Amino acid sequence: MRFSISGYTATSAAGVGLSELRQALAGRRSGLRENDLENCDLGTWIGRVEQINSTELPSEVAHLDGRNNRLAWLALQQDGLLDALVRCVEKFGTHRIGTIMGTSTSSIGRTEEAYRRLDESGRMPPEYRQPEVHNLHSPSILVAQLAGLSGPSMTISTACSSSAKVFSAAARWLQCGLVDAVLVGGADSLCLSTLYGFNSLELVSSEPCRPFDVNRRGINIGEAAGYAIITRFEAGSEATLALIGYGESSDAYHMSHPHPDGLGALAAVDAALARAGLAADEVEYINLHGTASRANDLVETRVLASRFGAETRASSTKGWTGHTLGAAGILEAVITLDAMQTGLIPGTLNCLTVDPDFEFPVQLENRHGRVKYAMSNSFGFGGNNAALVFEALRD
Amino acid sequence: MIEFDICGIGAWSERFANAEELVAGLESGLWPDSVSLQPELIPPRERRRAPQFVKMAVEVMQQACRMAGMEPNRPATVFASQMSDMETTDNICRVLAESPRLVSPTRFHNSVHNAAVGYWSIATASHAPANAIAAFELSSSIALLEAAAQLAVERTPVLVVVQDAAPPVPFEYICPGAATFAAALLIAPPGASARALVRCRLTTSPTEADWPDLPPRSPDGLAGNASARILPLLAAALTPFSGEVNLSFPVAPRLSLQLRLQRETC
Repeated sequence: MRFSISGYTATSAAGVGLSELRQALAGRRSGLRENDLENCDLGTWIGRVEQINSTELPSEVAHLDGRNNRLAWLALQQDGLLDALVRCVEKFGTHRIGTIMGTSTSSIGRTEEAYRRLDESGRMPPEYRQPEVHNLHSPSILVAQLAGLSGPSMTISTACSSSAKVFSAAARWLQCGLVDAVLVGGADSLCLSTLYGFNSLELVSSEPCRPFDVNRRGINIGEAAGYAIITRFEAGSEATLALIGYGESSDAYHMSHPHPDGLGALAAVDAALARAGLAADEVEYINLHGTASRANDLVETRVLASRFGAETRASSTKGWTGHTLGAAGILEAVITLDAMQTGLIPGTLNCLTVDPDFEFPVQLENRHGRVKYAMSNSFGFGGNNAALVFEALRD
Repeated sequence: MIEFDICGIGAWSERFANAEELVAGLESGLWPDSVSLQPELIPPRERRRAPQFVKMAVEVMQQACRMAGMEPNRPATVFASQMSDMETTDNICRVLAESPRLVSPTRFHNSVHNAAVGYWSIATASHAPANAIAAFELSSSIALLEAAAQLAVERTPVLVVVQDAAPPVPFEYICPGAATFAAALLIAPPGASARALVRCRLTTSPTEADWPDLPPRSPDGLAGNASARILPLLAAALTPFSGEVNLSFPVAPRLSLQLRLQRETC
């Protein structure tokens, strides 16, 4: 299988759009900050996107207002993506372009606000009565309308693998001929549900997250949105990047702990390699899930050690962005694609002493080099795993 | 065109416990006042921790596999809901509006949209891919589309679940008067299962479609439930007909999904 990626962008605490992201990665400048989210006093660090505060939705979608949709809109305006979508519409027609977004919590932040203001009979006040906001599909509704796309539209919500799985769903829709192009993406914004929820599971770190460090103390929650445009591969096209494999699996183990041997993660990685027709040692870079939780990082290095050799560089970029949950799949797919495009292969931030229990050497320093094949891994609650394989299409 | 067999159907609401009771009720128009929910697949200890929304899904998923005579760990799963688990959302948002904000860790992990397929994979030891999707009012038709695409490309049986619950007060304005409804369809590539109910041919066409009417003697409250819009498909697959049945469902503003149902014998 081979599908062209004809445009991509991401916005996170590490920057609005690709140019800021590249500068943060190259300069090893983390976007994490001490928690200063309004109305939240948890002692942790977060990956907050400052510019959301100055972002307003266009008037035709004012009824969709909320932090998550503002973030989705901010990200959609970067890197010429809207122009690329206009060209797509001209080529294929608007009803032939699908929209598939991933999110774990959608606009729940807006729902939380409404619940602080319920009236005496327990109803949301009028300004919060937004049917198309208080549901998981909200980011897809917003994006399809603003990009002028009228093909089928779907939101995937499988916790932290949500916006990795948008790629496999898009590939299938294209292969069946349901659509000719798909805008895939993801958007997840900071909210109390995830901050206090992960805190209740004792997974939130009180300091900047340190993926793969022996002293890692948990995750930092971040927010992000990102997009990619996917079409069927045409010989002679200008596309320089392609999706060539995906794998999806279930752990069948526990709702919030990964399988100790990474059984499900391994199945997803193997399925992605098989679909790409690659041997493990052909993969030159892997962007890891690498959340900095005790369990994830240990299990993930076990998975790496059982398939990959030291020639495969693997790193976690969550020290720059935090764990952006339902947006992690798209954000890290974009970081992986951009590493193939620019030759800057990010290392791992905040990891001072690699955990000696790990059986696989994680890359700490940034490196430069050409990457032909790369992988991005995402693992979510419910034991929901996804792995993606991309190819750089140059001679 | 995507071709598949519907091999098993599960259904649950407070008015029917399974597909058989659904068919009987649609014939007689008589419905019991309440129906219990005790999915056998979830061990008793887990049953206490699992929310009603998860139990409903696991129950109808098991019913569909049983009817099809298929091992429950074989099909990929696609779960869909317009509003997801509103009871869990309501609880978490209430706790967050109070001080201190003591979110229950179990509630939190149950709040993910893929909770039901997560519990299912654990209960059945299934490593198959599990998807959880939403598409607002089109959730059930998009779920069918997604399941069919997965079946066609991966050549795998797919267990698709669509369900929505009755809303707590703050969400009532979104789905007023909606009653709880859950349904599962096990679809398989043509001929892959010995026990097919009907063969379906799925196509899309660039036309507007209205939802098909609910069966005339449907229980109250299902008109307001986005997931119950799949009921005409369930009814057609479960009741005898000769020739063929054609159904269309909207999947986008100017795109409809056409289903042509035929008995497998022809």
